[in-house]
Order: sequence, then C-alpha cells, then structure tokens
Amino acid sequence: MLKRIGLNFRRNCGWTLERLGLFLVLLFFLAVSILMRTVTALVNEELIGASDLYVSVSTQTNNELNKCENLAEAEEHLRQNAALFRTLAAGEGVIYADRPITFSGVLSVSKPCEPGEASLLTGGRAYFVEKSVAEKCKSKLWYAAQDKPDEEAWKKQVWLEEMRLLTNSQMNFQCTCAGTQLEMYLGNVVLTEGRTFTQAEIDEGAPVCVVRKGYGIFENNEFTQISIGDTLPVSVYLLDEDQQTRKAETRELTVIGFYENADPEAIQLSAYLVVPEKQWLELYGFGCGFLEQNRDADYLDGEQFKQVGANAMVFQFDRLDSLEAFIRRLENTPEYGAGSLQYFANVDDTVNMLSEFYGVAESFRSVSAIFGLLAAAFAVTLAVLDAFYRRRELAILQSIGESGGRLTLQFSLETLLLLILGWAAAIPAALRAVRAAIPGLLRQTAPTENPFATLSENIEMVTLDADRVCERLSYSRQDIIFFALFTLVTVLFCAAAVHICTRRFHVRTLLNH
Amino acid sequence: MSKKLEVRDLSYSYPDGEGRRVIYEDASVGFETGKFYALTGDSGSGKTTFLYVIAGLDTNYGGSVLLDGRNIQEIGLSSYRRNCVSMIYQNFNLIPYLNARENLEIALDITDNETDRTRDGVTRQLKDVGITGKKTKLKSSVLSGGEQQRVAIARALATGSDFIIADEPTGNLDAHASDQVIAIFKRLAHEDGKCVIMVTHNERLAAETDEWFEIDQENHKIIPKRQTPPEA
Repeated sequence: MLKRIGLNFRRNCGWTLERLGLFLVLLFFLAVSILMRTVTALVNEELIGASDLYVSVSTQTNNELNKCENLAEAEEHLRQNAALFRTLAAGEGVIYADRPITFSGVLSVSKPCEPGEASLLTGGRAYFVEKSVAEKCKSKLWYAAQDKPDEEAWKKQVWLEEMRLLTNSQMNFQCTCAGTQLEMYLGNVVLTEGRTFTQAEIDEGAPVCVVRKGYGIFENNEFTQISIGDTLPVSVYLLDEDQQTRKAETRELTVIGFYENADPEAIQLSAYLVVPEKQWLELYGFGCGFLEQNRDADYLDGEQFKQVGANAMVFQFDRLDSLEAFIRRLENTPEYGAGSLQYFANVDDTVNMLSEFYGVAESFRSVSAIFGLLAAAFAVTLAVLDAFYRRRELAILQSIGESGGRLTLQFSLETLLLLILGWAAAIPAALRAVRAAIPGLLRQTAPTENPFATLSENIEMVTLDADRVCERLSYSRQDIIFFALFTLVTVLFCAAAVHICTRRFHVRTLLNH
Repeated sequence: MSKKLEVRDLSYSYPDGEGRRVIYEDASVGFETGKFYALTGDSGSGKTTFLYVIAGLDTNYGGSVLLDGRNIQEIGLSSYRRNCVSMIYQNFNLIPYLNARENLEIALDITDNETDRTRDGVTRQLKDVGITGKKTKLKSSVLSGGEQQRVAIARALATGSDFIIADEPTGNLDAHASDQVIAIFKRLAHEDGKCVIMVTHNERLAAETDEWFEIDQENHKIIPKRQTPPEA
C-alpha cells in the first residue's frame, strides 16, 4: 500500500504537487484564519482585557448560580458555564463585595462620595467594582466647575472605562426604574406586554419586575423564555466575618411586564430587568447610581446640578407625576440638555467609540472567518475532487482485483499525507505571515486613543502593543486539535468520495472511456 | 488438473427506450484451462458484455458464473478478479503515469497468487512479451499501441491468473503486432496451461483459436462455431 502511494506520489508528481500546492495555500489561509482569532482575543485583551477589575456576577439570569452557597461554588459554576455568559479571560475572577457594595457604572458624579459609596453611573448599566477603583474614581471624578477637564477627552476616557467594565463584567442588575420610565415617556421604550409598576408597588418596593422582551433564564444550562407571572430568583452574596462568601438572601421577583426598544436598530435602554427602587435598596442596601431622590422639577434650577455638567443621571421619584413634571421641565430647559437627555444624544457617540475599538478585533475576525470558511470548503472539495478526477485509475485498480476498502484506504492515506505535508508548511508559514502583518494591521486599525489611561489602581495605561501581540501569538492546543479534526474530516470526505466512485460509477463505462 | 469457468443460463438485458433490449437469454457456455477460445459476433451483439460478466466487472445479469462449480459472487468479486481472472482491454487500461514495470508491480502488489515478484521476474515477464531495455522505464502513456498492449498482456500474466480474458486485444494493432499477440496467447494456453478467451472481429485471428464461439443474436445465445482446433 505504502509502496503504491510512494509510486503514485513519485510518478504522478505533477498532480500530486498541484494538490499539495493547493492544500498548502488553503491550509495556510485556514491557519491564518485560526491565528486571526487568536489575534482578536489578544487585541481584546490588550485593549480592554488589561483590567484588574473583578466584577461581581450575581446574575439573576442564572437559576443555577442562585443555588450556589459561596464564592468558590459560584466561581466554579461560572467557569463551567462560561459559554452561557461569555468567555472568561485568563486571570479573570469573580469577587463578591461586602456590604455596602461599591456600586459602579460609568461615569458621572455630581457630588463627593465616600469610599464604598462612590456612585458611578452608566445611565443604565450597573456594575460592582472594587473599592480601590471607587476611590480612584472619587479622586478623579469630583471636580468643581472651574477646574473641569476637557470634556471631550474626559468623555472618551469615561467611555473607554465603560468599555473595560463592560468587557470584564457580567451584566447584573438594572435599577433604573425611573430611568426606564423616562425612556418610556420619551418613547424609546415601549411596554409590549403586561404592565409597569403601580404607584403602590413603587411605594412598597414590591418584589415585581419588568423585563426586556426576550429575557430568559438559564436553568440546567437550558435557556428558557420567561412569561408574565414567572418568578425570577435574585441572590445577594456577602462576605461573612471569616471573609468567606455566603449567600445572604434570595428574592423571588414576579415578572409583571415586558418592554422593548421602540426602534430595534437603536441602542437605547439596555436594562434587562427593572425593579422598584425600594426593592433594590432592600436587596443591596444602597441606592442606584447617583441618586437624587424626591426632587421636584424645580431642582433642575439648582446651581449644583449645572456645575457638574453631568451627562448621565438617574433620578428617583416617589411619585409618577413628579417624573412627568421633571421631564417636561427638562425638555423646556435647553441648558439641561446636557443632563439626562444628553445621555441619549451621546449614546451614538458612545457606540461609535466602542465600535472603533471593537472594530480592531472585529475586522480581523470577519476577514479571517471568510478566508477560513472558504479555505476549509475548498480543501474538502479538493480532497473529494481527487477521487473523481482519478476515477478511471480507481476503475483500473478495481478491474485488477483491488477491493473498494483498500482503494479507500490508499486514497485516504494519500490525502492524509498531503494534508500533513501541507500543515507542516502552512502552520509555521501562517504564524510568520500573521506576525509580520500584525504591526501594519494594528497601525491601520488601532484606535486614536491608544494608549489610554485607566481608572484602575493597578493599571495606569492600556496600550495596544503590536510587539507584545506578536510575541504572545501562537497556536493553542485547541487550534492543534482543530487542525487534526479538520484533517480527519477532510480525509473522511475523501474516503466517502472514493467509496462513491467505487460503488456508484460503472467500472465498465470508465474502463471503456 | 484443468479448471473450468462456466456460464449458466445467462440473461442480460438493458433499458432501451420504452422497453428492454435483450442481449442474452438463458445462454450457457463453458471454458477450461489449456485452451484458447474466440468469441465473435456483430457489433452490439454483447461480446464485451459477456467478457465483463465473466470478469466479474458487471453483475447486472441473471444466471450464474461458476469457477470450478463455485459461484464467483461467493468467491468474492474482488478476490475473483485479483486471483482468478485477468482482463486485457482494447484500450489497454494501463495506469498512464506509471512505467511498464510499475504497471506490473501494481498488479503483483494486488494479487494473492504465488508469483515471481522479484525485479528479475518482472523484467523476464516484460521480456516475454517483447518489452525490454529502456522501454520498461518509459511511462506507459508514451509507448506505442502495440507496446502498451504487450504491457497489458504482461500485467495479465504476471498475476498468475488461470483465465485471461481479452477484449479485442488486437483492435488497435497492425497485422504484424496482432500476430505476435495471438502467438503469445497460443503459448499461454498450450504451454502455460492458461485459458485465454478472446473477443475479436477478426475471423482470421479467431480461426487460430482452439474453440470458436459465436453470439446468436436471434436466440440470444452463445453457440459454438467450431469446436475442433485448427490443424497445425
């Protein structure tokens, strides 16, 4: 058998070399495609994964997680089910903060705050961060009107920080009860099913919630759509005296309504679960965002509010009519356009900004995916075509007594050898090529804010460093397994093609050709 | 001891327009080693079909093909082709990118028969059919028609099969080369004890054989045209 393969390679070297050349090119592109995925991950890590923010993941979207009794269990569960949430990056962990939990979002502050009370706000997104970050935020974020930094630069940093937070955190909880209602009022969000809170529920802080349409829970790793009337368990984890985490409390929140964005294209409210503010306060013991409670519309005239130029806020109102009055006043007061409404105006900028960064990695990902898919498809096709191209040879060998099984084995082994030779050349070539291309690619695609300062205590700057990406770029074990599996699949396709040729084609017709 | 290849009650037909065209209907015929047979018939009468049936390359027939009383399908068609029959084609069917020697080596690699697989053995087998020297190293596709046919014959012989089936082996050869091929077949049958079954249009060549069968298209049978060997 091997002698025959050797003869075939030697004597039919024109076709063999053609196939080898084609395999090499295709496998090269496939290897490049795989490497680009790694580049994507590395770029992400470089840009936004360089974080020492370990974010609490007490997510209400996972019933299994709610059953965990301590951090170790929760961490293990998250690791095992990372795919349900997102890929946990190397070195990433989950930290459950002690009460009062530093509540963070990004990033506008209107007043000085004590450690552990830092109120940072995303205008919708809520995260838990370490106290040290809150400290830093406090020192950086509090400023008087006269020494306010360059607003545009500041905004960018805020957004970058948001991006880092977003990347390194698990969406937890939305508490923008009033914010959501504001969006509903503005028509950005519409209630599609059920109802919103009654005044009584707001007053009592009833265990009810309004969720975004399509919201579901993971139970036994199965995604289940929820319906009105379902209950969602939400757990709070605390550190005990021995610094051990434990589950302190689980609340059952009843779903009373669904909302969705009025314009599906627009990124508006990203909240998934809205509860009455009091419920939130009871659960977590602190307010959501920077909270201005029970202000009436006249509060907007306050000098303090103007001074800080906050561009994202959540207001908490006890009464719905106050909210309406507030919004009316907001709309009629142009100078406060920089207030709550400004947030919505800024959303697009934020998204653009984020896309600029994500785009770096995404551009690699999409191009490589296309090349990878094409290369894989052509490689398999080539393996299959060989059998059809050489079907007369198959017929001749059959006519002198070779069995279909041995012919399948012979052709499969030939393809396997060619693939191994192809990989042997393509794998190092792709690595060299991608390494050579990275500096240029990153130069073309790197965001203008590179490097950028972080608010983290341990990481001053985040830099997209091409040399470091090149240095870290290599094939992972999974990549090698993929190459092996791909080879196996291609060989199997070849075997199937030979099988078809030997069984289906009429030997007589081929021999008389 | 001579071996026998028998065809019993062969029926063969294929779709032809709305009906079926019958080639054979309950046709029976037998062959034995040590003899050289000819099969003649008009074009389209089913000569080649018959050869493919007895070579185990076409199984769409009724009836049975028996080797020493055993159905070839029981033997296993691959095994039957590998060890019991060798076919020689009008268009040679050599693997074009291999040279003469390698075409033989491939066949030797496949057969289970006890044969001389040494380099000298292959050289001798090629020499027996008149392929010597540099020609053994030339790609089969660059050899002349006559030379390719001789390599094909050598390949058929190299496997040690008892039954050599030849489908118009002289169809692409000139008269001189044809005579050489016929001489080889005679030698195979009479000296080496093989059974050579040759389909031909050429009645002059058919007359050289020990037994001559003809296809009776009217009755869809194979009938003997001459059963006594020609006088020396």
